Amino acid sequence: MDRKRLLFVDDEPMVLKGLQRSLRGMRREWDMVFMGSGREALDAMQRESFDVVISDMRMPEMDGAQLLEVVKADHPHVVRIILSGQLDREMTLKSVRLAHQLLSKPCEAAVLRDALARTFALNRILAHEGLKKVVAQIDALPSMPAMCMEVMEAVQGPEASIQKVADIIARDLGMAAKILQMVNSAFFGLCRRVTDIRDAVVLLGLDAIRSLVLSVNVFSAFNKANLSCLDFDGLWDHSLAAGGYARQVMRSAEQPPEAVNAAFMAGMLHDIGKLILAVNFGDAYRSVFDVSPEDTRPAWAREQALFGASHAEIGAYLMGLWGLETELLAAIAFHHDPARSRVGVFGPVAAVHLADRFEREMRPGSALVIGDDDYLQTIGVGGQVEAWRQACADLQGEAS
Amino acid sequence: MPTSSPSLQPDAGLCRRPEPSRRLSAETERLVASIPSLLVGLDDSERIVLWNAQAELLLESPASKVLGRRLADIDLPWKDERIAAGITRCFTDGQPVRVEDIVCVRPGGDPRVLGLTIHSMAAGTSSPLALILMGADITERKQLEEQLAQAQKMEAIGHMAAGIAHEISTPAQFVGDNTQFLREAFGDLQQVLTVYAQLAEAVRRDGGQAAILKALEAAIDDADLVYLGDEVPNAIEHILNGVERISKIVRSMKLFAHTGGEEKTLVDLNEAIESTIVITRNEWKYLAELTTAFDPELPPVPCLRGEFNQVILNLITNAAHAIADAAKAGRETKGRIHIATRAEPEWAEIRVADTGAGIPEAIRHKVFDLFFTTKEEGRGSGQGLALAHAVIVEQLGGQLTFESREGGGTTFILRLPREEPGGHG
Repeated sequence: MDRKRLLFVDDEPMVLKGLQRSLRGMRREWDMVFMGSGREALDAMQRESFDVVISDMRMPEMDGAQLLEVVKADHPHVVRIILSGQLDREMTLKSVRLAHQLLSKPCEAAVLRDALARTFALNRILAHEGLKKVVAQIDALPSMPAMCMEVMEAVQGPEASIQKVADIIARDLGMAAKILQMVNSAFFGLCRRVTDIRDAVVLLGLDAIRSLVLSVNVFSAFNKANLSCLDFDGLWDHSLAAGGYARQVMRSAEQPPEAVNAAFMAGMLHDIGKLILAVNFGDAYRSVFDVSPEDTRPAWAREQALFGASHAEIGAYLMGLWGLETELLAAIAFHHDPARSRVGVFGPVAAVHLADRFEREMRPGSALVIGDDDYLQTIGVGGQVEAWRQACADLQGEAS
Repeated sequence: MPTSSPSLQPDAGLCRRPEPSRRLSAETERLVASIPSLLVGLDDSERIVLWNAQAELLLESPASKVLGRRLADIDLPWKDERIAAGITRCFTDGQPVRVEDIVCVRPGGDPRVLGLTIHSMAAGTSSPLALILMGADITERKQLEEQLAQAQKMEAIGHMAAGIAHEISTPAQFVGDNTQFLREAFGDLQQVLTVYAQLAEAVRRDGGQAAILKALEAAIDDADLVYLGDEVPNAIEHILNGVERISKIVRSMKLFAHTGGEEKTLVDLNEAIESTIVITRNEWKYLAELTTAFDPELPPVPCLRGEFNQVILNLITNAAHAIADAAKAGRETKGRIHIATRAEPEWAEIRVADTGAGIPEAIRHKVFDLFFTTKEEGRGSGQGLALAHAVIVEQLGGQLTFESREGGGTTFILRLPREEPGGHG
């Protein structure tokens, strides 16, 4: 395994020394460089290449936000993490487009090590350097124009209600993903990870959402005309339905509530990679759908051939950079091919795989979709698939 | 000189009620009744000759029961000796007397706060009025003032708490990291020691040393003993440094938060200022160097500790903001805040100087006005210097002035009397 290269930036020498000592146990796997200012850090990055930058926020002359802005532009492949003792709301909002993850001081060595290890583990999901560079530059995902309007209206005016805002965000892939990134950043100092989008919105509060919408502009609408390569309405419908089915399957299997929530979010976000491909590789992506009748490969296999990875891995990689739960990532990354996840028990991975499949099957005029039945047999749930299919069909019956 | 005083009035107990000729005219009475203030009139023997509707309401006694009686003989809901003292003083020198914050505890309602003015009336008219007590119910105003002060305090506390959290988070980070390092280092050392023990045992039994020696060398290499020898003492040093930093912040917070109550106590101003500097460090450390020159001869001074701390906090915050504004205007280097104390014969003097933008000539006369501010919303509400003025001048009997040069910085000068100003009350 090749060594990872980490660059730490902090204006307090004792913090740097402390980090160096506490991460000493990783010295055989990581090369760590410590710099006392943003200027020095940028010079070091000119000389040698790094995988990740971990920077303090408040520093004299060049603060963390200014540093990461340059890193993002000049070294797009580098993962950007903020480790700061002063993550108030203003600071969080300022950094939400610049940093992939925010960690709050004091941060236990184990937590920092874990966050870094999870980031490096993402290489197992997506190894393609060119794609990684593109994905690492993404700071927000576009939203459905109608929903952007709705949320814009909902946060303004005297009758703005957090519940209403949460309802809208929970129906949009781009907004939901961004909100999960924010709420799981250290600003809130939550020990538990939040996967319920309504909880997340309430935790952030109306003021923060308002700033996100109105001043930071993280929620922007895509232009359907420019992105004709993808059927956005279809993607949204499929994603929301899949989220609901994943939840239904998990409930039928009597899974704990946190796992049910994780499966729901993973179900909703499992195709987020399609959005990334459409926005960043529009023309090339279009050719995935222009296929000759002889080509019987599924779309994701064609993506793999064309880009070196499918939307599943690309989506999971971005969600991983944004600090989302590992379990959720696996369910997104392996929704076509759950056996590759090496998860040997029933959970969100299997539930999302099934939800994706059920949704396709239940579309009018669809044939039965081939899934990984061997995997389901291996984890010992093969016999329950029929009952779960029925539960999801009932759910769809109620909805329509 | 007043022509009458209570002692000159003969036969005080004779007339229970004023004679008709000495009563107020009907017109005046109607006028008096319509005034929304409390009005109580006394004749020159302190008998009540006037008691308007508002007096009936606030003092819960009908006019019919009090007219003609001496004010001092009536059981009224205000228990405040300042009123009787004020009446005597007003009779003596004829000057109006103002008595603030009289609390009326009425059995039939909420307590009210009154402000009272005692006026001496011109003598020689046909009116029996010698003295008039005019009172206004200032309860609401008082409540608003308190709420305002409370709101400013809360705002300041919230801001301060965020700053202190940041100040503590830095040492907490490296104390935790170094301790983690020591834990791992100790684990590595233990490995080495275990093999040493085996080696000792082998030497004792005289067998197998060579293999164990090899294992020992590997363990020493693994643990990087030379590095640990260098770094363990450094780590311990840093931990102690971090803990000391945290303790200093906590001590300062205690000193700052210890208000000393509402009474003046003798306060070591140098120590009070030092603690405020520590807890405001986050406000200025990225903007300015802060230097001090404390006069070691400065004796403890009678002072309201909590209020004084608040004033110093406001002045340091202002200095930092002034420097930030100057920096925004294009100066590159760090600014400087200098705080000096000096014992003068009468005063304890404190100077808080900054190298900020200075106060423009045009607004100098307004800096102590309540709600006057040049800062944008969220950064200042215009109460800081007004509060400072109220505390230093009104509550502590001191002086608060400033010297400023546009583009050259501002120095605020506080002077507190070294001795409790005597002779009043």
